[in-house]
Amino acid sequence: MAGLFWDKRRQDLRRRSAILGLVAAITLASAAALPFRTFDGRIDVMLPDRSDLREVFGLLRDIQVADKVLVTLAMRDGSAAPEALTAAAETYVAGLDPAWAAPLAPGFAAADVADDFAKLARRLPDYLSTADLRALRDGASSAAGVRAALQALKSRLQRPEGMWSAVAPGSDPLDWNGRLAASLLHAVFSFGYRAVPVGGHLMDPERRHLLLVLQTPVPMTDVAGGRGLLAHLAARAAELPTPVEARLVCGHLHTAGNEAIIRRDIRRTALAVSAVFLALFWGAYRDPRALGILLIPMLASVPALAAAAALFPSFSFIVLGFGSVIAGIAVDYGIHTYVAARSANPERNLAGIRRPVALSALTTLCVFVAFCFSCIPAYRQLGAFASFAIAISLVYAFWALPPFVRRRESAVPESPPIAPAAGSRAHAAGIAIGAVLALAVGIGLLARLALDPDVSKLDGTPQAVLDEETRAMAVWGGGPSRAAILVVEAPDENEALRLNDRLYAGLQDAGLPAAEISSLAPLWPSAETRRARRAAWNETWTDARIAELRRTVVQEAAALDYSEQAFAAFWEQFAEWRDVAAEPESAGFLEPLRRQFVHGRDGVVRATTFIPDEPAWIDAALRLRQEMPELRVISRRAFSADLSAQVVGEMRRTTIWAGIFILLVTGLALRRAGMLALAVLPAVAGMVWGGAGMALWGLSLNVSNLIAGILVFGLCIDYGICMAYAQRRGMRRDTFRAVTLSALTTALGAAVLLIADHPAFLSIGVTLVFGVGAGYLCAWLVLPAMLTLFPRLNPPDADAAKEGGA
Amino acid sequence: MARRMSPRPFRAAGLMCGLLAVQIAVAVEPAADLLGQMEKAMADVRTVKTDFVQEKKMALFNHPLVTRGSIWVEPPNRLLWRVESPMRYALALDGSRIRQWDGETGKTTSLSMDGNPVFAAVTEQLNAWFGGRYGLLARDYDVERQAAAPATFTFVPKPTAPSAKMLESVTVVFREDARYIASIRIADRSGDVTTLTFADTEINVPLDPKAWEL
Repeated sequence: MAGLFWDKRRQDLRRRSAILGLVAAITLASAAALPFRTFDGRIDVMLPDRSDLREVFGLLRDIQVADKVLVTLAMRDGSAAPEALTAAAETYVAGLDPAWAAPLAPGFAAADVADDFAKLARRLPDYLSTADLRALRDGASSAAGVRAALQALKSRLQRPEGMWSAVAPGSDPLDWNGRLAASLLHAVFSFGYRAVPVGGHLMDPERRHLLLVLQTPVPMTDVAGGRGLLAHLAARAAELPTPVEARLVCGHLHTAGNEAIIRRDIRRTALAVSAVFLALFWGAYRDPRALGILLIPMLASVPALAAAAALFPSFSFIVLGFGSVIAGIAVDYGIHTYVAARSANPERNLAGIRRPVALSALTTLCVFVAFCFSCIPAYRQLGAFASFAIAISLVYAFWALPPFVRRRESAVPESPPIAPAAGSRAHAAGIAIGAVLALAVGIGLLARLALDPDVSKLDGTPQAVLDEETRAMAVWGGGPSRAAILVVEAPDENEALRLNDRLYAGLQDAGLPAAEISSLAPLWPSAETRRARRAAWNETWTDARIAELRRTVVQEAAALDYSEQAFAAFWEQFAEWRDVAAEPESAGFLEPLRRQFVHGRDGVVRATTFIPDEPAWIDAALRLRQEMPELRVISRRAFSADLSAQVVGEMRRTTIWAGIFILLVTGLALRRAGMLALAVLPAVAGMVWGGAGMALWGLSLNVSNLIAGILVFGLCIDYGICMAYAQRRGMRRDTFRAVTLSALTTALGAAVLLIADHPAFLSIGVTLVFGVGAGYLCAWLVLPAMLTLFPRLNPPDADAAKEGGA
Repeated sequence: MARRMSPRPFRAAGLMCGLLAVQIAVAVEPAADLLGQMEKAMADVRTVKTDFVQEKKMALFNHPLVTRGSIWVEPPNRLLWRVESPMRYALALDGSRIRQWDGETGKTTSLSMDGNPVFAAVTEQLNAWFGGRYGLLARDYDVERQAAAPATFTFVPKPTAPSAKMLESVTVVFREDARYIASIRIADRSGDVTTLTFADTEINVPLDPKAWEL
């Protein structure tokens, strides 16, 4: 009874209405779930987890002011019109909604800056290194030094700049505080920026551009928020007078641009692959129902995406871009099923293809399942998405497609079998020699391939955004920033600053000039450094030495007509330098800079330093790291080397696992060493020529296209299996055409990636097209030739031969 | 870090914030109607060539410091300041380029205002006061007309202006034809006073462009 019940259910499930209803329900339910999943275009999805690299990438995001927007206002005709730009800036700022962006609050009152400098002046000893202190004691305090300083002060007061002196000259006759202020300002402005204050705004020296720095609460990674922010800023720009234009530089443009380009690529490739497949199937079968083959991967991709996206907190658009490749693979099962279901004896033929087609799907699945265990999130996402898509496509192909395929009305005879081995031994030997030569050429080209570990090249940010950044750089300076970033970490800020001072001193000891180091250390020493410097100051400036200095100043000042009480303020401050405790002084105008160099998050405070990314300085930093385990060296070079090592290791692991899975599955299914050896040949040829194709195209290996190599192996072994299987059982033309068509669909599915703009897709397309093409040619031409030369490798089944010849 | 990641603009944005903090401190802000009128009166002035006497009365010195020299102005951003006595000195502002010549050493030094915001702010002030660009001063100063003929205005720094800590007021006296200033008096909060008196002023005469080369 139970058997009958299940037979009835199985029959019900094969009814067209049941199939349509179930497939529609699955598709709609999955599609309804998609809006609740998160998708993004971040490229750090390509970075291995469980490694420092991911943390470094996150750190870079945190410290690189992802919440800032630079707005450059300029006259469209390029003229200098500071007043018009000032008015436009005020209009622009007035229209800003703080929920999206607000002009950067300096965090202090401009009028307090003079007080800030006065405060810093009171802390002069805290900022003097040992060398600075020695210079003051031995040089600046001598009679000649004092005379020169007083003469310079008098000259300065008679020059135009003396009219707007911000510091009372009597409080700094020897220019000690002036030099401190100059060194602080030099440190602040040593980054080469060109902005100058004009009318309360920052302009370039030529007065052709005005800079607004905005702060936004929208994180750079918030795709929807970023779109809202950019729309808001575009609306503000539209309110400007016609002659004025606003140009933006911000991380959100990268996010939005990257996402837009991936979305466009997905649309274009999906349309292209659909059009190509439709034409192909129509051309091959002249049957409108053949178009159902195309529906299989399309319908399967919806639940596959919903299921895969549910496994990850956020799913990458870049992985979605592989949709056409996956469609090209998954459509194969429908082709085989269609051919079998359309034949004169569909039941028998459908039963006959299930094993090789399932085996083919299984070998492909092996590759994608191996990706699921990768430590690179993008590989895991691709593995999950493709695995689900292939499994569902296989189920749809075996279950949903056959009832909709119309059996041929006319009694078309079974197509005759193709000869098990093509041509004579001489012809076969020629093919084999040609194959060996082609393989040798491929290996030669493959050897030229280099690994490019620069993940940033997978960023599809539109050229217009990059050009805008270059233009902003040209206007506002900053130069080509190839700086390495050194980061010290500590549980609290004081300790982080102490380590920062140590790092600064260590870099200088290693020979790196102070001018090359962008560090907070000279501007904001740690409490420990301040205490040490204060102690050194008090040790140097004994009562006797102070009395001597005072005598010298009085004598030299009188000679230059300075009044008796001219420097009373200076001596009051001198007394303070000895008495005031060594504590950090809050200087408002330095506060934004401190926020820029010091970052606290999750109980860890990080202080950053920028140095040239040159091997000598990176080596010096790495040596310092041996003494300072809290130091992190974020160098483009070091980063690239680390990533290379990790990605190569990862690919090796994934390849080995995929290879083991595939060979195990293939071996268990074929159970003959000769057949297995033949099946592997197209896979080897495909991998070699996949890489060779990239070399011919002038591409490099990278994190994204490395996976294409493994994929080629998994796909090409299918052709080997099918051909070996068909040769053994006596291949029919229909089967051969199906194999050809499936190879063609896979290659075309990959080929449409060549029209994509995103850099991650092009190289994958090239690898797959060359690899799959070579694998197919090998399966088609070389396998029969090998069988001719070595017939014992895969002797035909006696029953199958009989059956095929019948 | 990388071209495409474009950490450059991100870092630039951050450092700009630091810059902004410092530079805004020395910045000046918008104007009032009076200043517009003054600018208008000087609108057809293409060049100015004038001699000056600067007298500084300072508590720092027993006697006033008197300086004599000449000023050439070519609005909007060229200014040449020559001191003939008691020392020899020249300062030439040409766009974003600054050149200084020191008569004692005979040396000329060049510097750019790029990355030198303090000097940039000083030159901005010089261009504003001596180049007749009073609109740039309005936001930091309250302006009051002291006399109609000759036109005399007093600029008092607003309490929020950076200059308010040091400066009491600036009084500008115009020539009868209002086409250029006759004198400027700068009073510091410390009681020090600087007075510049202009004489032999020539308007719209050709100026030797090589003079800015120093």
